Amino acid sequence: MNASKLARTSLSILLAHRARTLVSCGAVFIGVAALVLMVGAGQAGERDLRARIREMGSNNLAVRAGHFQTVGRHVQQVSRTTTLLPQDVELLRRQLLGVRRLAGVATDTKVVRFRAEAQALSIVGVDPEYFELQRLVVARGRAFSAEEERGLARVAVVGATAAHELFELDDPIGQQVRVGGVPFEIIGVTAKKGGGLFGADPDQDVYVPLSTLLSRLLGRSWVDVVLVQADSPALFPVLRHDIAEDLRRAHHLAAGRPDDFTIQDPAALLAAEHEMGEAFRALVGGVAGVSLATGGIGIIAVMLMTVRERTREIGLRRAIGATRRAILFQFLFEAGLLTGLGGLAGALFALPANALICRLAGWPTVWPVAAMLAGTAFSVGLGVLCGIAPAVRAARLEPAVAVRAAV
Amino acid sequence: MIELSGIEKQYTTDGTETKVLKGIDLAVEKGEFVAIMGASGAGKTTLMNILGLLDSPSGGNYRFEGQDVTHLPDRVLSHLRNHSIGFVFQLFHLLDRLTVLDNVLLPLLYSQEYPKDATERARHLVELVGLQDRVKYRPTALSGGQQQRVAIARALINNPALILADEPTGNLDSGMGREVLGLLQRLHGDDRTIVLITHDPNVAACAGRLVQLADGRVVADRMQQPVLAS
Ligand SMILES: Nc1ncnc2c1ncn2[C@@H]1O[C@H](COP(=O)(O)OP(=O)(O)OP(=O)(O)O)[C@@H](O)[C@H]1O
Ligand SMILES: [Mg+2]
Repeated sequence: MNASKLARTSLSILLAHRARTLVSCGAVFIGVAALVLMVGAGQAGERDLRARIREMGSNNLAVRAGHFQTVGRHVQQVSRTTTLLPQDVELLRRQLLGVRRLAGVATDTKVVRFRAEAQALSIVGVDPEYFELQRLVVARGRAFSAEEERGLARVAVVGATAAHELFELDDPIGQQVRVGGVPFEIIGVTAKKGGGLFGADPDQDVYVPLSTLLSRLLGRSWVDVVLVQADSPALFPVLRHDIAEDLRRAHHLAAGRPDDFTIQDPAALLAAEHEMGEAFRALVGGVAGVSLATGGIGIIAVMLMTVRERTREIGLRRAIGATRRAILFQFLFEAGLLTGLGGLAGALFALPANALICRLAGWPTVWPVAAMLAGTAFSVGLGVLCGIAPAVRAARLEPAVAVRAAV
Repeated sequence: MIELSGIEKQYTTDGTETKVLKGIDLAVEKGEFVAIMGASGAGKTTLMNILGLLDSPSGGNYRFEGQDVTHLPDRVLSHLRNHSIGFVFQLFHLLDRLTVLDNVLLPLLYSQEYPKDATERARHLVELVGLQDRVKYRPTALSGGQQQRVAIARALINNPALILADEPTGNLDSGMGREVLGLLQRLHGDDRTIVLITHDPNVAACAGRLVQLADGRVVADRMQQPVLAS
């Protein structure tokens, strides 16, 4: 028996039944494509997540004003308060042990104008320590100083992307811009960093002294967040306790009243985002599972039909010397080939689709080659498995009966 | 070549037993051209299936080329069919999706060894049956007579000692039928035995020996001067 030549005749028969082959490949195509996409997106998301954990520093705690909840990708503010003040930041700076850096942060969106150019950007008011705490490197020019912060200086450091869009070919350093109508001088541009948490992009932001933002632009006294960089994540439990105690006392919260702030650690936030990824994977995995199951059932049906339609062919093959085993293998092979082609096509389709998803999601592009191979191999296995019953039926046909068949 | 003794075949359908072959004794020598005639339902095809090792008798004994083949495993029977027997069916039994050449090559795929000169051999046979300019055609693009000639070429690819033809002209008009018969007459010789089944006396007249089957029994068996078909 000549397996490769037999395979070739099987292939030409399948190709001649183009429509049926396409239909029965379809579900497997979707299944394997979903499978590869799931793995690809999972890997990309995972890699992105790790990069961001590294990037943002796993030592940071965030103290937010008000009460927050993390729902999926979004941090929702359940209640808003105006009680977290710059003096709280100073209090924590004085009181806390095991803290390396500390920065108050307030954010709002303002229109930034440079000549005819106008863009709505996030204006982030920060303590000067913020840059080091967030590992934001000021690539050109300089960051603002503590004196400038205290003196409500109208100076700004722009994110790399924002600078590029706003100033294009001009040198940003020393340029005058208007932020919400107030003139500011650009004193620095940050290096490209990427990977902000929950969709924020540090490269798109404009950084100004916290006090300047609060009094000159927003006319308010409270901050949104206090970032606390611990000496080590091991100190998180202690710090959470100390921060809560200090702030409750400062805010005169009687026992039994809820906190008017929320302490988050980024690792936990990332874990929440990771969970979100799990949900996505479960969904796509479900799609893959359902289509593969559908494909499997479809293949059984198609192969049974094939065996019925090709009874006389089976009889002929037996007459010219095919053993039962050769017939069995032929139909197992055809089933595996059918699903294998569908799977391979799905895997090949998933590759650019995955790259596109990675790009849209802003993830590093991964090429899930192992998943492609595994998906294709799996689809072949699925076909062979589903082909067993029809192939056994074909092999069991009595040659004398089969050869007399009407078809 | 073929020795049948007391061959019986019965089918049981819905509990009722039908005896189709009721004790066939028949010996065919190497190189003979035998026609088997009989009315419809006489058991001709059943007999041919047993001769061709596609079916096993319910009783009696079959020796093929000196070997008792009455009870052999599938693998051995398949090998014998592949190697020593060529079939020609009334409905040609070509695979529509394969070319003429691939149809002719098909039996070699089940041979123990795929010969190096397979394509050459197949081309030669296609030429022998006069279809050299149809090598890449699909069977659906051929006339009935041409299809049957492809089937004959396929039956010859392993150079079998026995050719079994069940009503090979049954689906052909008389002109094409004569062509096919002429081809079979030319193929038969010292080393190749042909058993042809028909219920057409004109077809049977082309054979050197005529066996009459009626109701599962051999009722006549005589030598005759073959009429040349073409
Ligand atoms: N698989 C089977 N099961 C039951 N009965 C069968 C089977 N195969 C054949 N028969 C019966 O055996 C008898 C002989 O059939 P067979 O096909 O051998 O006749 P035949 O001589 O070839 O007839 P025809 O000239 O019509 O081809 C018929 O009555 C047929 O119904
Ligand atoms: Mg018949």
